[in-house]
Amino acid sequence: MRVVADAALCSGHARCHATAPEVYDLDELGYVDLQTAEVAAADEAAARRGAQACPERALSIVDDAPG
Amino acid sequence: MITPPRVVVVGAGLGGWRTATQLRELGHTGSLVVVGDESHRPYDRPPLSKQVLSGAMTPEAVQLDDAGTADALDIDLRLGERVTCVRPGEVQTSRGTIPWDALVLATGGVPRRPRFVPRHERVHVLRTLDDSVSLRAALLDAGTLVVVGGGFIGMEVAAAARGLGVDVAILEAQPALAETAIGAPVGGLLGELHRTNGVTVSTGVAVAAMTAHDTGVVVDLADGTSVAADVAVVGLGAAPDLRLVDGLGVDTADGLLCDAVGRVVGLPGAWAVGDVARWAMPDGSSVRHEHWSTTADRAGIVAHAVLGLAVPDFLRPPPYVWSDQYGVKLQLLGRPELADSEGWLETDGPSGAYGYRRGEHLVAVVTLGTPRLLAVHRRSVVDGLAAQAAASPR
Repeated sequence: MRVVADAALCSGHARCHATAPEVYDLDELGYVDLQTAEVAAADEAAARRGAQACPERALSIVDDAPG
Repeated sequence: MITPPRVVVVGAGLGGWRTATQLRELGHTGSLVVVGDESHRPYDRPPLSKQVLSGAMTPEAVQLDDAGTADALDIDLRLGERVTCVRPGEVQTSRGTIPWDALVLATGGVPRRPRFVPRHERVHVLRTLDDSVSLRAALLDAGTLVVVGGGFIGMEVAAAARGLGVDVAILEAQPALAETAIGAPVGGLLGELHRTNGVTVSTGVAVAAMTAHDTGVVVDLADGTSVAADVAVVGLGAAPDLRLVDGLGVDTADGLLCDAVGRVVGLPGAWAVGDVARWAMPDGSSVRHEHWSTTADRAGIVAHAVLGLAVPDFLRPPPYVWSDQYGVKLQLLGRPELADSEGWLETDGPSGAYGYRRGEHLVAVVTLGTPRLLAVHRRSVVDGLAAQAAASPR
């Protein structure tokens, strides 16, 4: 699983980081600090809930391969 | 996990829709019906007063999920269907009767329209996608706009209208814009921001009468002056939509009273979420919020509670609301209504963070134009609210 952030949409609400800090870091300006990142199997649920917490729908979860 | 055989959700906005999708993600296997009275698929409201008005976002872009999501999750999404009556065990709709074992009420709110507000095509309110599309069309054709009510919606409409080249006047009854939400000092700064961008801001003014005619609108003020414009927007807040629960014997004083996981007090098997719901707080009070983030989080809480699952802590962050005006982002985290003192935490040119304290505890922070400072102060607000709740008599 990958998570993809749309930098043009990220507005610095920081709800991803507050919800799932193990997946989403913030940069020094308070915006999400990733463009695209592989998610460890143990963090998949956290990645999903962080993406759901985003008011701008700036975070997408991409399930690359089945299984 | 409990899985009620038949779950019915009344309302297809953020609260209703998110509750439904979360129920499936958490493993609900029973039937799941979502009834929405609008014809649009579930959509997001924050852009309606921002990007949809400015034209930065198309009306189609506000939909919460892809068209295939309802089918993929086996959700019976019924659009353009109106629930007319709620009874224990069933709801009546414009098309028939739907039985339920668990009911989620997410009926939202209706814009407040005091009696002085005429029903006329030149007088707009802003709640639905159709309202937003119709207001944008009116603004594209207008030279002047008067905004009655200087809260967040009124301010965002004013900012979007300025961006479209419209001359704007804001009329606000309180001494400062958004004063109820954020207090006079920050509200005063927002007033300056609007004036800098060419808006005529009048605060502390009372509307005596409003008249609309074929070519425009006139607002008469209590001081004898009047403001004329091509178009008016009334942004005086929304009232919880309680029409379906009248007569059920439940507490509906400023919203449908619920416990801390959204169970409607006095209506077994029913939950409520979103703008219609007033939830019990840890300090013994109960609060109704109209915030996107509160509704998104509470939808997750309700989904857990309907299935008898423990609610994870991440679904209970402090209340959070934001606004975008002239490219400046305002962010409010926490509960300023609890504060007994307030002041700037730090400033950086036109940006800054403003804090609200109860005793020594930081219970809310507002940032202007600087998400960085929200990240800096978040932990203190989370801790301050927890300490404040622990210290409050129940």
